[in-house]
Amino acid sequence: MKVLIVARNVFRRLKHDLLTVLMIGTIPLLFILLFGYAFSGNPSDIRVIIVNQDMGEISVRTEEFGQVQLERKISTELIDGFGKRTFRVRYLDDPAKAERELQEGHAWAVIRFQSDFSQRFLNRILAIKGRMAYSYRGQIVHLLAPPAGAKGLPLKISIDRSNVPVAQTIVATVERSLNGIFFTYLGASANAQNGTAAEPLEIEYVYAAQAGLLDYYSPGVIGFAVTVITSMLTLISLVREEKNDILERLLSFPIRPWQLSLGYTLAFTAIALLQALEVILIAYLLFRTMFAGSLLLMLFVIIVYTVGLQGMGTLLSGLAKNEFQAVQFALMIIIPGLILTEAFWPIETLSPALRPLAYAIPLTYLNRALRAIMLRGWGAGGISLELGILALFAAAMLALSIALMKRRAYTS
Amino acid sequence: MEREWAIRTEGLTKRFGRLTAVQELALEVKRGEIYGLIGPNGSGKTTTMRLLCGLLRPDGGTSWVVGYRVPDFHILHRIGYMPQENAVYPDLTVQENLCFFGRLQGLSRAAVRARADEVLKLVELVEKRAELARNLSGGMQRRLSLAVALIHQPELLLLDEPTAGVDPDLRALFWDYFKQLARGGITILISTHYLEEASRCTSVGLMSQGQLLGEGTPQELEAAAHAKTLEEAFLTLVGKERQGQ
Repeated sequence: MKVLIVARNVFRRLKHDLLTVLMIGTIPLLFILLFGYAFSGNPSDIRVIIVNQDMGEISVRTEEFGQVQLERKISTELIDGFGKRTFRVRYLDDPAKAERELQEGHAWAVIRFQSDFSQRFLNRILAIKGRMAYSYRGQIVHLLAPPAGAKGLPLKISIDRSNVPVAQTIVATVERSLNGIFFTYLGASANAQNGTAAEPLEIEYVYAAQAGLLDYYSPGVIGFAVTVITSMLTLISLVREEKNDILERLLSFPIRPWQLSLGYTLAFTAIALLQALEVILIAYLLFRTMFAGSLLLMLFVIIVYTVGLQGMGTLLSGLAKNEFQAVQFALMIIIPGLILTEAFWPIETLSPALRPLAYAIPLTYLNRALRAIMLRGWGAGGISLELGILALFAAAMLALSIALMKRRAYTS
Repeated sequence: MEREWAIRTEGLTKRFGRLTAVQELALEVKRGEIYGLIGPNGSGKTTTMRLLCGLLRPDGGTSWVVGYRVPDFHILHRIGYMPQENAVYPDLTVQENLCFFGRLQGLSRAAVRARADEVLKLVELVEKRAELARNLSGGMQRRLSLAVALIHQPELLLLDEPTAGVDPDLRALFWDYFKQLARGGITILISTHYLEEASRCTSVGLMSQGQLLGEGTPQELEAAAHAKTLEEAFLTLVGKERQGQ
């Protein structure tokens, strides 16, 4: 009976705490909706540049007419095999420009078909099959194997491997399409007899050639750890100070709201920085994670982000009435941060409907900046967009948190 | 004239939505006196305190504190405010709490140390200076809270229900401290809902529903209401107020 009385009392208390009830309802909903929508599809919209110099002219020996010239651009058949959704393709004619775009991070890969792609592809097929029926000028002719020629396919892929899962998807997609048309040309029987796959792809990695999944995850772990500790610490400590009247007492002291806000910011940022350093040190010493860029720049970006996050925590602490609500608010920062911000899963793996949300979360830009520094070795110039957005976030949140503090302290 | 008054308000008003917490308050507290703001819970005492500290923006009226018109940053150097909660850091020691708040008042480290010795002696917590505040008893935490309010030798102490929930022995001890402080020239504005504490004040303001019903020495108030005790006087004044409404 007393057990029931105690249990009932918990619910009775909740009846008077509508915000908590609301959070109890929304947090699991947020979890399942985010996870459900985030990972319900395959990766899509991966930015890829195609430089197609394939002439589509194939010179081949036939049984019936001797040497003939075929017009067939096999590269387009390969491109069609990529599917409509996986890649967001942009075509460029200038290979140098395409490589530059890749270097600057505007695309994840450049797929370049050289002028004799179709010729060498068909040669390879004929070398395996020996003889192949083909419809030529309205009649069936038989194409014959050429004398042994150049090995390999004139297809070159340059990939930015700083996003390892995306790089893996690009390679897998191209390989799948290549194997698909290879087996189409070989025919089912040939496929079965030889079990032959297409030529291995010629891949060049422009960044992070040696990167593994751990290297990809490490920047995300740093960003996520900083987010968890800063949001929890800020929210819970400020709510506790509010509850104990400490904040009220502080505001009756001769201290300006901006001094108070900056004081908290300084402390919480220092703690976040220490934590980030701890993760970085362990990642480097224990797991030999890749650090191609400047550690100082990494720490600077983390500082800018933490200032903003701390300001946001201060604002939210004004809404939370107790520690429980503070934790729930922190979770509302942490959960989307875990799922949507490229901490662990690239934005290309998210459902397109959720992507605008990812761009609205500052942690996305921290993760991108850290990854660019750690895996691409970029300097401040390369991450200027991310740094700019984070600086704006920090300035806005700091200003708002000071304004909030000011509203509470009439005198100061 | 401003030199004579530690606190003076004219038509001070504060509303929270439809509720008028403080209404047209005219309060005058002379320098060096212990002024008791007496009234039941919800009568507007805490709101008045917070208005005087500049923690709330009034909806009407003006107030002057230690010669400055509120809000003025100078006031914050000269007042010591003790909120209803203990408002000390539980995870700091007694000494660390005093150091932190003393430094916020602009005292040097050496000055804070010297002053901490004095206030700890006054509130009898010298032995506990290395204890974490959370390990102190409730009464000791109240005394620490008072010590924090005193760390910078304020001219005016604003004590919001300092004796609420405190046992009679400790309450008597607190009043000893207040008397000592007043003798040292500090003005004290103290809010309480214990009517018996009013007799210890030099002046008393009886508050109800955000208004000051009467003001004077405890004896003057009793005489004005033809009452034998301050409690009776308070009830008479509240009755008159209700009839007037």
